[in-house]
Amino acid sequence: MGFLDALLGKSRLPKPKPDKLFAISTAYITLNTNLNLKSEGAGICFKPLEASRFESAEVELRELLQQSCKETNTQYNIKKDSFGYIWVALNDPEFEDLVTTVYMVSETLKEKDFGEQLLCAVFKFRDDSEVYWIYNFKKAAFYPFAPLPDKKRNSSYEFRLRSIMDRELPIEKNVERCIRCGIFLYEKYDDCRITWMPKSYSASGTSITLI
Amino acid sequence: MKKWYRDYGLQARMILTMFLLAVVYLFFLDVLWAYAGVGTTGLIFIAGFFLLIQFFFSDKLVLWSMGGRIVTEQEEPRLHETVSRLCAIADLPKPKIAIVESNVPNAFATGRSKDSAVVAVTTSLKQKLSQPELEAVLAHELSHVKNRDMLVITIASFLSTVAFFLVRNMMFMGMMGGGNRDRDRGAGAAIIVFVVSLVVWVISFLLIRALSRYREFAADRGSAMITGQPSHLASALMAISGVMERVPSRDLREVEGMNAFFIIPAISGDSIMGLLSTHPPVEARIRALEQMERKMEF
Repeated sequence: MGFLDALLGKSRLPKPKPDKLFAISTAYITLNTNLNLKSEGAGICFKPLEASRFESAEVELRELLQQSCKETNTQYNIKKDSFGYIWVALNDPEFEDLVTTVYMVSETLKEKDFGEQLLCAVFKFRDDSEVYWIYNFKKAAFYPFAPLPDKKRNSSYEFRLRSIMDRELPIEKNVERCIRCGIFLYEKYDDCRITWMPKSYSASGTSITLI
Repeated sequence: MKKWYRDYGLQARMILTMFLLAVVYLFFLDVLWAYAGVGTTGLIFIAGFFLLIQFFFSDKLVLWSMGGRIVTEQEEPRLHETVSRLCAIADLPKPKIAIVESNVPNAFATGRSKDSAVVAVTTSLKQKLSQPELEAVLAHELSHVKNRDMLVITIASFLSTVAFFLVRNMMFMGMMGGGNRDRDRGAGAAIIVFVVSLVVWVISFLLIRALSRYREFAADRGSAMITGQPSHLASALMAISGVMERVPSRDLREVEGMNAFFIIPAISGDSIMGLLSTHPPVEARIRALEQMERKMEF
């Protein structure tokens, strides 16, 4: 934001940049082989707008999701969390399909002129514990999020992931901007936690829940 | 429909206000240079010193004077999460979050830059507002941070502070009754500077108030833009102003000094309104939000 904008109090929301999302598709090979991280689903989160135009865009998005998920055999679930944000939780054994579906959702919103409302995309992995790679649409960068069982973050592991993946992924350098995006809140507010179905899911199951 | 959050009228008024401010200050500096002589250098130096203090310690000063306490993520996870998400959408660094123990529902933002910003809410605000309303208020404060309102108002206040110091100095000198050699000339100049700086101070004070009001509108606009829900801020403003009238006036007087930073000023009684107010009336702000809501639809 420029000097003049600041002087005139004209705040603008930055445009989303979903293009770098695909970097995680190629990075998945390294994540999988070198770090032994297995994909466990993905999600994309946006803030709904208070307008009938948005509601019609949401209907269209649901239809698109239904069609494309049928083709790729991806499971999806749309839920609103307690902060009023909408989550599209996805599950698919093919990592590639997860990335393209997340991209499709972000592109659809962008086309409808609601791209500014995108909060983040989340890719869930697991080795011994849960690890997430979060994509910030405004920064076009990824950052790792490794929760610990005692409601803390494993910052040393996050640092390691950051430095290992630095060559393959655009990484958010400013640690303070690496927020948890609702994935992991304290016990009292666990209703905001998004959960994906375990890896061995049944084809008809709709148990990808967003509690 | 794309730019439903633009308001050219508001920007025009803001430009006009800033232009008038500049004109007044230039005139003031000119008079200073012509009549006051070398003595003012020291005066400006002192004012500059205070400006620096204000600039670097304002966040701590404001927090300290309000009794605000910085809270960690463990203490206030929900508040932190709300702010984090808004910052991710607005692409801002996350500010520190403070809580003020008070039964006046209000919120304020302080700090000289985006990186050192502090957003504070009172305990009563947290209790009285719903989650979407609280989010809208936080987005309003974040818009103040994004628009660098603390910096703009501080700089605007600086020159009027210079004028204020000069007025005080001249009054002091006037009382001492000048014992120097060319008494007549000195006294005449002093009176001119005194009158001029007094007028300058009054005008600049009113202009800063006007600027502050326009920037409140801009922050409301920013809040509606970040949350995408103008109606939530409108209902929060109504909730806060409704509660305002019922809380005891003793509390209101205690916080009056901090009004420029508040989302709704705590002024007891309707007498101090209009020109002197740092905030536009709630009705006007709600009207502006309603207008935005309509524009979003088309």
